[in-house]
Amino acid sequence: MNDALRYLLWHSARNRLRGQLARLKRPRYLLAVLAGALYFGTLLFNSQMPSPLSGSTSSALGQLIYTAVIFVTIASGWVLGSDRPALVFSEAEVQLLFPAPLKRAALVRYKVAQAQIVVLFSVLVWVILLRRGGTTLPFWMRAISLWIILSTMYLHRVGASLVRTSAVSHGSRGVRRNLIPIVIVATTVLIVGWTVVRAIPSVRAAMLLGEGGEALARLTTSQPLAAILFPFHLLVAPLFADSSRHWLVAVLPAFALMALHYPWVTHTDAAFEEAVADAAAKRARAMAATRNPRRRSVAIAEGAVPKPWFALAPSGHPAIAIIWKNVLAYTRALRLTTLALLVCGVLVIGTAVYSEVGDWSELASIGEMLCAIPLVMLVILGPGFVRADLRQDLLQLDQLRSYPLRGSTIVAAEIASTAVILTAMQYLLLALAASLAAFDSHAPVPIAPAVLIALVALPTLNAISLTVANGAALLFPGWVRLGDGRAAGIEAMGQNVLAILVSLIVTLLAMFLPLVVATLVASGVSAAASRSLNAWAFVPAAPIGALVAFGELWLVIKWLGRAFARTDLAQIEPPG
Amino acid sequence: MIDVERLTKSYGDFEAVRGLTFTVAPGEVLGLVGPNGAGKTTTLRSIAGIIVPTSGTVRVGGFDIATSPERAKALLAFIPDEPQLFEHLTVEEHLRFIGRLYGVADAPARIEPLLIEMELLEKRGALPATLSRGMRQKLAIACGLLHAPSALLLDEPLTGLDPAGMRRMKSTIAARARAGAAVVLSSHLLHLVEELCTRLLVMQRGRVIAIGTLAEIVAERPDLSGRALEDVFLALIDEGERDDSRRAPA
Repeated sequence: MNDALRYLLWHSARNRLRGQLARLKRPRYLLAVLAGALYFGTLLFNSQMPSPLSGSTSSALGQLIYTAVIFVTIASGWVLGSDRPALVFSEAEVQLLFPAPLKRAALVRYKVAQAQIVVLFSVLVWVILLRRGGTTLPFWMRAISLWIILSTMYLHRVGASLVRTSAVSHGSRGVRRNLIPIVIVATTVLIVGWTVVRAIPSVRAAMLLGEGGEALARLTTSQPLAAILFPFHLLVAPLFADSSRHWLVAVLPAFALMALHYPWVTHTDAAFEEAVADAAAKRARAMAATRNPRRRSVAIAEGAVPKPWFALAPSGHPAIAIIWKNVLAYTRALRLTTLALLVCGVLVIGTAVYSEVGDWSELASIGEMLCAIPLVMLVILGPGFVRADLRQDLLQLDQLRSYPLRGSTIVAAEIASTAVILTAMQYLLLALAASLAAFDSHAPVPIAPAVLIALVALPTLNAISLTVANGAALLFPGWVRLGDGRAAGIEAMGQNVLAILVSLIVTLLAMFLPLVVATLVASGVSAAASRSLNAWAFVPAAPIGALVAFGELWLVIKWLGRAFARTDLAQIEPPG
Repeated sequence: MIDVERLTKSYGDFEAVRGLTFTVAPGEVLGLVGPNGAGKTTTLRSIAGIIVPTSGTVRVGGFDIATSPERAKALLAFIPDEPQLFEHLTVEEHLRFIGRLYGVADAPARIEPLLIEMELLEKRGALPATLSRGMRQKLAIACGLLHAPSALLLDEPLTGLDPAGMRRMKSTIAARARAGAAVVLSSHLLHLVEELCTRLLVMQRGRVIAIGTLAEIVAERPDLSGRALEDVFLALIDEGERDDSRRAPA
């Protein structure tokens, strides 16, 4: 790597670390670090605690899971990934490095080297997390195996994004230039998709008999999946080697696979240059977009601006304006192609299953599952992914603070923005699942009370978890990712772990009282009706529990409103 | 309209603003001048209620920014030097949003004339990412002017504007002052300050080193009589530096 870039890399990392250490003088950050250390210490030294993948990492099933996860990650990078290079340059890098007499390949190498900081820390975390996975390999062998997997995945993601960038920015000419990788990926995804879809009924039948693992193993060891997944097996094989000798045999092909990616990425210079040249042709727009950590605006800015979903009346409560702004921003940033692909995928799976089983009830049952899984995911992970609230707007704190609104009103409106979006998505999935349940003769739960309870519980749960997430952003802005950019590095990784852990604990604590109240009310209702406690008893209990929850949130938001007025601007810094 | 009394803002041991006191009457334009790091932006942000002063009070239209922030903020507009815009709102949507926030019932009727004034009419459907630096600045200014504020805080208002835009902006500021707004503007462009401001406040290292009309300031320093604002400014700063050196512990 170029000497100047090496200097930049080293001094940036060193100064960043110094800054992070200096921040530990503040008690709240010191406390957070101590909590993090305690968490990792528990993972490291508590031999009683089961490993997340205990019992599976050494088995064929564990290997299958790793292979499948890597395949899906890589395939989704090609199919659903961004059309811009995955190499994210900061404002300073664009302004100072792009005009410098550096080869594009040098810039790519610089970014790849920079990414190694994150990769190495991820390796450390995963080695700790998987240390009781049943493997007999020494620490350093597992570390090298994981490093190969993570580095290869990173390099592949960058390479794929460069190919996509080139293909998209140069239309048919770009597609022709990158025809070989595009055809290989498209064919692979189609074959895998079709094979898996056709196998769903038989795998499902095997799962009912408790033989799902064997059925999946048979599926992946038969052609054509075995051939397609071969490079992925190669990549994960060292991690599952049962002896040092086997590891040595397995690590060489895996390393070779990773090494092959490096020249592919660094020599995709032409595609990278094209992407940069294209951006340079639209200099002002590209520079403005690059300056902005929220890079999604570039794609939107290039096309027609979609109309708002609803008009903002000139008069009314001003907090609605903030909700309107945030919902509009979120819906405009949505990638409709991703949604369309998901809907198409569901339709293809549905058609294939129906053609195999010819039973509407079976199809409805699978449909319910396909709605229920994302619904549950949205409840658990949605508040982390949908961030149309203070986690975006804190970067414009000056603006927010200058508005003639109480801090608590602004905080409540910001929280409500994401809550509205999440609840709308969840209601849609709930409505679909409930509609499909009408065709399902073996529905696992009584539908009517479940839907009624969910209608109340979902917005309440969203409000609780979003209040926690926004509170964390407000109280610990240096520890929460703000904006769309992805922070990298040791601190970011530690911060994520801590933020998730603390948020989970606080969310559970906030839910405790409402749940207790709701359960007591439901018990009372059952006793009054002289019946045993069932789902119907929770129908009147759910709104009462929700009222308790919103009472709690009202107090918390009042408090956060005061914190909003006093948040230290110096801690609000763009990610990256 | 704007009353600042013993305003102090500290960051740890560092005092960014030290005991600042001044008032700005309706129709008056106060120019905040000083070298980089003098505390001009901190002062404007404190008045706007963006940062909380360490001590002292700020009143806008009689409302204390600390105890009645909503009422005080409803009267003022703060236009920062680096425009902060929402990337997913178009130019017109920004104005509609601000109109609703400030309760401007006739916002739809005000938007078009404002867009014409700021030469943004053709860009009304554009997102900020597609606007030039100057246009973004104009949009930020339009957002500040929509609710006809009684107090206007401008931080380097001409940054990024072309010559025609600068001229228009100067006449806009003057017109708002004539209409009764109290204006505080910070700028390094001394000719702008000289042209627009009725009074000057010269800051250095967080404290006031001179305040008043140019004539009043010069009257206190006969040696500066007949000199241009630039010379007066540099002489005051130089003197301030010497004062600080004398005060600094050996």
